[in-house]
Amino acid sequence: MAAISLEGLFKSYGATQVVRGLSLDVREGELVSLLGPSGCGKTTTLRMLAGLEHPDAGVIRIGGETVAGPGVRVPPEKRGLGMVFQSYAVWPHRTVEQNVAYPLTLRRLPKAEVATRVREALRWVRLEGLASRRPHELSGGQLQRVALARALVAGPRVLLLDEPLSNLDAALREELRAEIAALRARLGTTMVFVTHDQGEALALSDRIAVLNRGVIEQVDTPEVLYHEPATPFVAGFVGGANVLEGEVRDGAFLTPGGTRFPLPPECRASDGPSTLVVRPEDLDLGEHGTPLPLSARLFLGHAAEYRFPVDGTLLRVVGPPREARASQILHVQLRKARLFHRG
Amino acid sequence: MPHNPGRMPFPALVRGAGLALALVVLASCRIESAAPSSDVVATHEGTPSGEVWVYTSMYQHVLDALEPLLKQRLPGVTVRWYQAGSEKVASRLDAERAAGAVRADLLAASDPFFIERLARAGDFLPYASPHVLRVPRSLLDLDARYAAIRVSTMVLVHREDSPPPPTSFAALVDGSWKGRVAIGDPLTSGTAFTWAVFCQARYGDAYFTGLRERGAIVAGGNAAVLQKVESGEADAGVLLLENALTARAKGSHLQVVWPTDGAVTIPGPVALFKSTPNPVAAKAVVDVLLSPEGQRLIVEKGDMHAVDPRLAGPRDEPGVETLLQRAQPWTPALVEQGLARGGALKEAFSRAFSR
Amino acid sequence: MSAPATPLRWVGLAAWLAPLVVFAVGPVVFLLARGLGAAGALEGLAAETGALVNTLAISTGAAALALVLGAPLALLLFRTDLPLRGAYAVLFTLPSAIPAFIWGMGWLSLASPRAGYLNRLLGEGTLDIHGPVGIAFVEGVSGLPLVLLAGGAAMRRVDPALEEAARVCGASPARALLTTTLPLALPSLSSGAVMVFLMAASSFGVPYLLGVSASPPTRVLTTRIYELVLRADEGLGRASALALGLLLLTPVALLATWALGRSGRVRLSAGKGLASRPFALGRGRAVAGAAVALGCAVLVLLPLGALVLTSLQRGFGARLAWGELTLAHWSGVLWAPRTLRATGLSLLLATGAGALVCALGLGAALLQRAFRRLGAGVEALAVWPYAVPGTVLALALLVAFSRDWRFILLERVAFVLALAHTPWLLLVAYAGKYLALGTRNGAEALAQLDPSLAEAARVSGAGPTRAFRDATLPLLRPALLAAFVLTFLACATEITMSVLLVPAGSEVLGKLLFDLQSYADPAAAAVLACAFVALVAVGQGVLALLGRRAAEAR
Repeated sequence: MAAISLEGLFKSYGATQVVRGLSLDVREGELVSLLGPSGCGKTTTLRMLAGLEHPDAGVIRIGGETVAGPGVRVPPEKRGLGMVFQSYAVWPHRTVEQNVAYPLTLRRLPKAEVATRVREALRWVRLEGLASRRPHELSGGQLQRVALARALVAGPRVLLLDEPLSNLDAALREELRAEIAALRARLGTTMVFVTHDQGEALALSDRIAVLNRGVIEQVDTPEVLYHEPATPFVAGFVGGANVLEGEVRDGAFLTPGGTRFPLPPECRASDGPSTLVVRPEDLDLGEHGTPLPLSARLFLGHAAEYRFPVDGTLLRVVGPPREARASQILHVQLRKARLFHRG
Repeated sequence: MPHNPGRMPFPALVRGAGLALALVVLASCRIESAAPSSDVVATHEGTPSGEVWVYTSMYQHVLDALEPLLKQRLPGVTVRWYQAGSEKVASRLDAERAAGAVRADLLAASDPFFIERLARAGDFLPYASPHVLRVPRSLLDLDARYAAIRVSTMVLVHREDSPPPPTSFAALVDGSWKGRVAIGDPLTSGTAFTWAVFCQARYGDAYFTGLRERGAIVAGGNAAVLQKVESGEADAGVLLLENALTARAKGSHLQVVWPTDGAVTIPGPVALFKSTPNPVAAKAVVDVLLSPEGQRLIVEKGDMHAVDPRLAGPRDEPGVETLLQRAQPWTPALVEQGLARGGALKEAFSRAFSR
Repeated sequence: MSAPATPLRWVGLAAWLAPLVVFAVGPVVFLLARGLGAAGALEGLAAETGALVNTLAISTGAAALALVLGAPLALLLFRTDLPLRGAYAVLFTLPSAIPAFIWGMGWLSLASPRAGYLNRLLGEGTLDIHGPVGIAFVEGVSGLPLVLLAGGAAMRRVDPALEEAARVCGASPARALLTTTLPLALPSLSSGAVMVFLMAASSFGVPYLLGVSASPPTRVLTTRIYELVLRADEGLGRASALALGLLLLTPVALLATWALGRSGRVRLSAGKGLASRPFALGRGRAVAGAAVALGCAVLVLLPLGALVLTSLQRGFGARLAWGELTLAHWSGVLWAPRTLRATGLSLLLATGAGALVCALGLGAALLQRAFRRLGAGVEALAVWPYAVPGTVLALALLVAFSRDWRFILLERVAFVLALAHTPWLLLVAYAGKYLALGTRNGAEALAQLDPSLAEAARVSGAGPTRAFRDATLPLLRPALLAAFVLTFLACATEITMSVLLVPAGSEVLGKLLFDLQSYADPAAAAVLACAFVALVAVGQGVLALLGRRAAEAR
């Protein structure tokens, strides 16, 4: 049985439709990411799941129980969830211990049990020594750990994470990401994770739902999503592929500006307007192919990124480091690409 | 992300506040039978009893002194005072009259014009107390709608160490006296208004312009005038006799000058409202106020003149009959002027001073 | 969640509106309509332009003075290492904590042209506190804390990173302070100044005390209204017309604060304490310290000293000598049963009014948030009575509630609302008049609160009420406490309305003070004023201590 099921959710604020017919199932113990650019409706979806917003239409079930739908509206406190906010939302007037104990005191557990479970939760997030601190004495990473402990302490059916890492610096983000993965392995909690960072989503998720303008473009495992994007948007957003508009003619792709890319043999397509999606690492620099002037070269260590202006955008190519000057003409060849016909 | 900051658990508190307010309102509500009760206008024949509400401008310490006397003479009666300056009493009464719910049984304010206005509106119950027989006629209403219980007087005052004082109200403007005088504000102070009516009647609007030209300081009420004279801000002042006498008793170096053109007396009348639910007790309170004991308290505690000619004046001043000789007489024309042309007088005064 | 709990929203609005309309707005509108309906209401209004011009000039002057003094002072007290800045912060809030009337009394004894203490030292007529300039000065100084506190709060909210960014761009510390923090705090400072404007425009005590004796007498709208109301005949009509003019100033001033506030509202990031480093004054420290000390001495301590001196003098204006000092007034006033009774009732009423203002103000703030666009109307309605002159509000309540209201239920039982001649009417008047304090404080604080704090509580398993109590309310507490204290202080010595509404047979402090000042002797009034100042000082001290302990506990 699905731990969470969303069916045909709609939500608008005034005239703006934020979520437009979104459906998604999350299995027990699974971690599903909602990935998309800002304004795509992912946070709104999460808030509807939490009960902080009510969908205009559609049904939400958690553990088989309908919590939102026509005539049903279970308030957030009755949904048995845990949630971590982007802004931490750690109450400044309570100590770390009091923050974490809050969900348990609401459940009227005996004091001794509350103390044990708070200690345990603080151990999960490695904050044992800071129980009596006040939030303003903690760093951002520590605050987010408090929020995590608070969300997990009562053993929620589902843990909701709303961009929990985006207020942290890179090193902390890395560290906390590993910690979330470890916690998940340990507790097996079902999680829904909202992020706009594809790296985070790819690293953590069992499956990723890519959202764009209020609808899901694709739901799949990270690998499938990465290698077989269903739409140009997914391809562009996940893995940072180059996306070029143009048309297919005589086994080659022509941009409106007149640049011509011969298509690799396995990428045959009928003529007509198309979108070309190609990852930077699937382009080769060599003696053959389309001659393009180099605009910049970025050294990445194991490789280098080369940028070429094409029709006002930049075509990015990742290949082995080699000597090259700006405005030098290099030849670019497609090794692997995907074509999407435009109707 | 366009989420909605308005979605807070707000109603709880609003409901709480509303509930609390409803409780407050209910707590101050009385619950009674809706059937019109017949005993509201009980006449209380026989011994005076119950409550009597008095709206008055008499000083609080005089009221405090009268309290034991009233308790002793009328053990069954509870007297409730609303005490404020005569102009405040007038405002409050006007508001209550507008609402059609005057709570006062008695009015004892030192504003003859206001009392006359209400008398003409037919608000008062005529009552002649047996004690008024000796009172000088000029202090009584011949239709017995009101009767004075005390007399305040506007006189001139100056500090002992100041240059020669003015000898008359006229001297304040005719140039015979050099110095600065402090006067009350006729626009807000009832007693200053009465004084202004007299001066205008006698010397015309030019009196106000004259005051302005000689640098008179307008102070708010009588206490402000007293303060200006005592502090040396002004050389002389137009002040109520009782304020000057009280200040002297407290050690102030103040001298009283009886103006040669006549002091201005301000009778403080008492009147019964027609709407009183308890006329018997109200009349009894009037009797006590006019009784020799009540009058003595007004002289001794209030430093005002009693209306009973047998009593001496305050602080060894002569009694009320001598006072009336020293003062300018009240005439029907004056009353008419203050009543009908009060607004014009105030206009003239503020025009003169805003120049 | 209660999300689109639309009906509940409306129930809340109704529950909030009902008392406000019945007890404040309704009576005033009724009175004004009556007055305007009377013949001749609009005649002679042309003659009142002087009062209108005076009001505008004095209020603008007061607001400008408060802004000019308050902005640098806020910077010095809250963003620099000025010596003794904690003590100054407390001292400079005194001007608002003590009624303006008392400051007026203090300045009157300091700077009366001939008899003022200062003029006796400096020569006769050097200073004259009477007249528009004096009124604007006293009002401006007594409104100073409104600017100071608003600016201080804003400066503490401004992210220090912004200032650091300016430093990195090459600005000197002083320049960074002046070009980033000050402009960001300016909307709050100006919004405080607008409140000063409103306060000055609707104040009565000071213009009356200092205006009437000026030559020519300075009349402002409120004192004109008072004079006209006292002229029972045709006066009420014209007074209503003037009051209407005064009331129109409220929406204008509110609009100004909104316009200013929109650009300046800095939302506190949730749960993250921002600590900005105080700016080191360096060599300027001594100079700035001396300047602030001088300002404090002249603006705060001097008038209070004058009051104390007045209260100790045997007779007002006596020679300044030890022999002329006496404690007689003190013992005579302080322990009189009358004073004690009045104090008791006043404290009780002020506590009640403070609680009501907090509750209703919080309600208004929540409604404002729930209704957004309509919320502007809610705020306007809540702030509006603040601009109604006390005399008008009191008379309106008298006209409306002198008669008992009978609500007849099932033709058998009648609920009689008998407010007239009870302290309840005073409570109603106080709460109505000062509702603005609760509303503004509550709304400001709520706007700075990240909603996720309450949402986190909801997801943790708390119902809406519980989440509000556990997460929102504790964080609003400082703002509500401030609203309570301000209301309490204002009500404990309120004069204008108290004099008219006080129930027969009882007294309140404000009426006592007014009586002593205008009918008895000023020394006695000064005693009461001093006692009140002492009370406020103790209260402030306790608050400061509590604040420090709370800060330490955090």
